[in-house]
Amino acid sequence: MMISRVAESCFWMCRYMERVESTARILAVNRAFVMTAHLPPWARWRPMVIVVGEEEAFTERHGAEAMSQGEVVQAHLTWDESCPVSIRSSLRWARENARTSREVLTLEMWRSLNTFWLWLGSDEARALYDGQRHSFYSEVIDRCHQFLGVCYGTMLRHEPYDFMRLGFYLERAGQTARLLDVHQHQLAPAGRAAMTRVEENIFWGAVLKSCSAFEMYLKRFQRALCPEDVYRFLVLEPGFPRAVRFCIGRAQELLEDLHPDAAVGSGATALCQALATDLDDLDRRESPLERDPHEALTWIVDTTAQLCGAIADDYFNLTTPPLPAAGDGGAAPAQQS
Amino acid sequence: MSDPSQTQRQTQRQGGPASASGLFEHYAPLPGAWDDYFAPTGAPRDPTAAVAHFLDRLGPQAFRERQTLADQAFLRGGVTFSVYSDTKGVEKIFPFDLIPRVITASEWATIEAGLVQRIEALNAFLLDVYGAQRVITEGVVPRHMIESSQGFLKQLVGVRPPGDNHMFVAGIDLIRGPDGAFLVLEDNVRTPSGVSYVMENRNVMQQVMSDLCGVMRLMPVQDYPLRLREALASVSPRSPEETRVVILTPGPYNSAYFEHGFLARSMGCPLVQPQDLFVHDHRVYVKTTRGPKRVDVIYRRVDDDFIDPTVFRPDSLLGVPGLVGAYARGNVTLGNALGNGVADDKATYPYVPDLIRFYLGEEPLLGQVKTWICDREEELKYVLEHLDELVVKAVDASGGYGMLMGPQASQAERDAFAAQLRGNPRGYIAQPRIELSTSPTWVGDAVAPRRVDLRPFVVRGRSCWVLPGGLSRVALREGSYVVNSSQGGGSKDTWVLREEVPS
Repeated sequence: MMISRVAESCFWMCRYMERVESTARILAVNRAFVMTAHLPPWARWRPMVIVVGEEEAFTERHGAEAMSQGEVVQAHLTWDESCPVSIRSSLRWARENARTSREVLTLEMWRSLNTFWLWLGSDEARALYDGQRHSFYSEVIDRCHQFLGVCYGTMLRHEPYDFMRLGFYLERAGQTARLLDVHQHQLAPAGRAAMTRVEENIFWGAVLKSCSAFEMYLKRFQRALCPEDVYRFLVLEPGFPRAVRFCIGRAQELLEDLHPDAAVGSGATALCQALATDLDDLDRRESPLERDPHEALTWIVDTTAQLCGAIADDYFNLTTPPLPAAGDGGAAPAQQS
Repeated sequence: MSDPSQTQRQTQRQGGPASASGLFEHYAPLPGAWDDYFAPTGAPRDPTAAVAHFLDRLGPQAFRERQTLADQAFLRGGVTFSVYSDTKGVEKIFPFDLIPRVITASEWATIEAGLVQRIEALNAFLLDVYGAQRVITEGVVPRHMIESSQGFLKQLVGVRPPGDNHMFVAGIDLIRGPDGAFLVLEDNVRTPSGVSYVMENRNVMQQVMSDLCGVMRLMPVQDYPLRLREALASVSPRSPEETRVVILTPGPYNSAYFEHGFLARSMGCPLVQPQDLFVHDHRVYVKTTRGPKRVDVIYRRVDDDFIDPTVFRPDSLLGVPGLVGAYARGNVTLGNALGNGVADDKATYPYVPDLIRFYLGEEPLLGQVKTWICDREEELKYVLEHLDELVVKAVDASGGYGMLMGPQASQAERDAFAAQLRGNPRGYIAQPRIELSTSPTWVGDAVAPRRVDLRPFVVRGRSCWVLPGGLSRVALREGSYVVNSSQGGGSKDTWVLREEVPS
C-alpha cells in the first residue's frame, strides 16, 4: 500500500530514465551506422526522429529537410527542452518525479539521479558533447546504468520498487517494438531483396546495438545475421532483458504481486495477460514474420500504451470509494452531529 | 590572534600542515555588537577558544577547500530551498558557513527552560482564546487585539484540539544583544521551518570537519524526527496500532519542499499533497494503490488560510475540502492545530511576559525586545516620529517580508511605509534596531563578522523537548541585519556542548 501519486511518480521516473538511456543509445549507434552505411542523406537520421515519435514536432520546428542533418537531429533529441522526449527533458522529468517521491527512494538513488542532472547541465557535459560526441553518449548511458544498479542494490523490495520496475519494463517493451516497426520495410521480403549482404549485416547489426543486443544475439544465433532472427530475438526471446517478451513477462509477475486480491488491478492484469498470450502464439509459428510485422508491432505498442493507462486506472487514480463501511479496519462508528 | 600554546597537543594530533597565515589573522569584531568568538579586545572567548584555535591553524586555503566540499555535498544531496521571487532555476542551496556557533551547557540550560516556559504559556493562551477567554475577561489582553488578529479564527471558538495540544512544533527566534544575553525576537508557532537544515548542516559538518567534531563533545541533533512522530502519534483519535500519521505539503514548488520530504523520510511517514487526501463523512482518507485509507494525524505544512477551501479561502488549491469539519469533530489531529496565528501575531508578542505570569504564575526566564504596538494611538505617533531609528514589521508576515529597516531605508521608503502604517495601524509593530550579535563568517576570501540569530525548535507532545541548538541564520551581506534565507541569508551549525564530566 502506498500513496497513489507517489506510486505514479516512481513509475514515471523510471520510464523517463529508460527513455534517456534508449535515446542516447540510438543516437550513438546511428552516428556509427551512418559513417559506415553510405545511405542517401534523407535516410540517415529520419528513423531516429520517427522512433521517438517526434516527426511532426520536428518538421514544424526545423523543416522536413533538417531531418537529413545529423547535427540538428542530435541537438533536438539531446538538448531541446521543447522536445518532450529529448535527453534533457526526459532527465528533467525523471528528476522531478524523483523529487516528488523522494521519501520512498533511497538516498543513493536520489544522489545518483541528481548528480546526473547537475552534470548534464554543466559546461563539462556541453564540452564533451561538442568535442567528443561518442564519449558524451557513453557517459549518459553509463549514468543510466549506475542509476539502475543503485536502484537494484539499495531499494527495499516492496511496492515502490515494483512500480519502478513496471516503468522500466513497459517503457522498454514499447521502445523495442517501436524501433523494429520503424524498420518494417527492411523486414519485408522486398526490403530484404534491396540490400546486399554487407548492407544487411551493417543494418541489422545497428538495430541490435540500438537495443544493446548485438553480442547477446550472436551468442543465441550461431549463424549469419538475418532479419527473421533479429525480429525473433528482440520480440520473443524470453531471456533477453530488452526483448518485448521478457519485459511483458516481468510486468506480468509484478502485476500479480501487486494485487494478491482481485479487487484492484484486474484491468491491467488482464491486458498484460492478453499481451503475453499473443506473444506465445507468435512464438509458436514457424516464422514470426508470418504475421505481418507492422501489424504485430503496432499491436504491441498500442497494447503497451493501453496497459500503462490501465495501471493508472487501477492504482494511481483510485479517487472514489470503494470506501470501507466504517473507517478502515475497526474504526469507531460514525459520530453524527 | 591565536594562542598556539593553549591546545598544542590537540592540534598536532588533528594534523594538517599549519598555514602560513591564520584564518582569524585579520579578524576584527564589529564595535558595539557581541561577537561569538572574540571579546572586543581580540581575545578568544572561553567556550569557542578551542574551535577558534583549530580553525585559525587550518588557515584560509584549507578552509576554502573544506567549504567547497561542503557546498558540493549540499548540491549533490539536493538540500535546497526555493525562492518565491525567483522564477527560473527554482532550487538553490541554502548557503552554509562552516564556522560553527558554540553554546555552553549552562547557557543552553537557561535557554531551554525559558523556551519551555514560553511554549507552555502560549499553548495555554491558545486553549483559552478558543475556550473560556479568561485572558480577555480578566483584562490581560484587550478583546479587540485578539479579535482583530488575522490569525484568530472565530469559527474555531469552542473547538478543543485533541490532547489540548495546539503546538507540536514551535520555532522561537532568539538574538543576542550587545551584552551577550539571549532575547526572544519572535515566536513562530504556525508552521516554522528550517529544522531539516539543522540536521543536514550537522551531517555535512561531521563529514568535512570530522577532525574538529571528533574532539568536541556535542549534543546530538538527530533525535528530532522521532520525537516529533512520537508527539504527533500521542494524540491520535484512534489506537496507536491503527494510527496513520502523514505529512501534508503544499507540493514541490513550496519553498520548504525539501524539508517536507526530509521529515517524511526521517519520520518514516508518507508525504502527501492536498490532492492525495479527501474527506468523507467527516473522516480523512488518503488515496493509495489499495484504495482509500483512513488518516488520523496530519503534520501539515499548509497555512490555515489555505487548508480547507470550504471554510477559508475558497480559491485555495492547496487545501482539502472538509478537513476543518473533520478536525472540529475530533476525527483528525492537526499539527500544529488551527488558529495558532493569534499567538505569534507580532502584536501579541509584547503581551507574552504577562501571559507567562498569568497562566504559569512564573517570571519569564528569557528577556525580549521592547515593542511599540502601532494600533495604540500614542505609540503610533512615537513610531512615526522615530521611523529612522526603528524596525517596523507587519504583524503576520515572516521570512523578512513586509518589514522596514528604518535606519537603513531611504526617506522615500520611510514615507511610503508611514502611509501604510497610518492606513492599517493594527497591521504593524515597531522595535528598536538591536545590534544583533555577530559570528565569524567566511566571505569568499577571508573571515569577517556577520550578524546571526538562532531559531531553536521545540517539540511539544506529552511533554516538551527542545532540540539542542537550532538553526543559526547569518546575514551574509556586509552590514545587513536581515538573516532570512529568502533575503540572502545563510546558516551555520550550532553546537551545544555537553556538560563537562568531572574526571
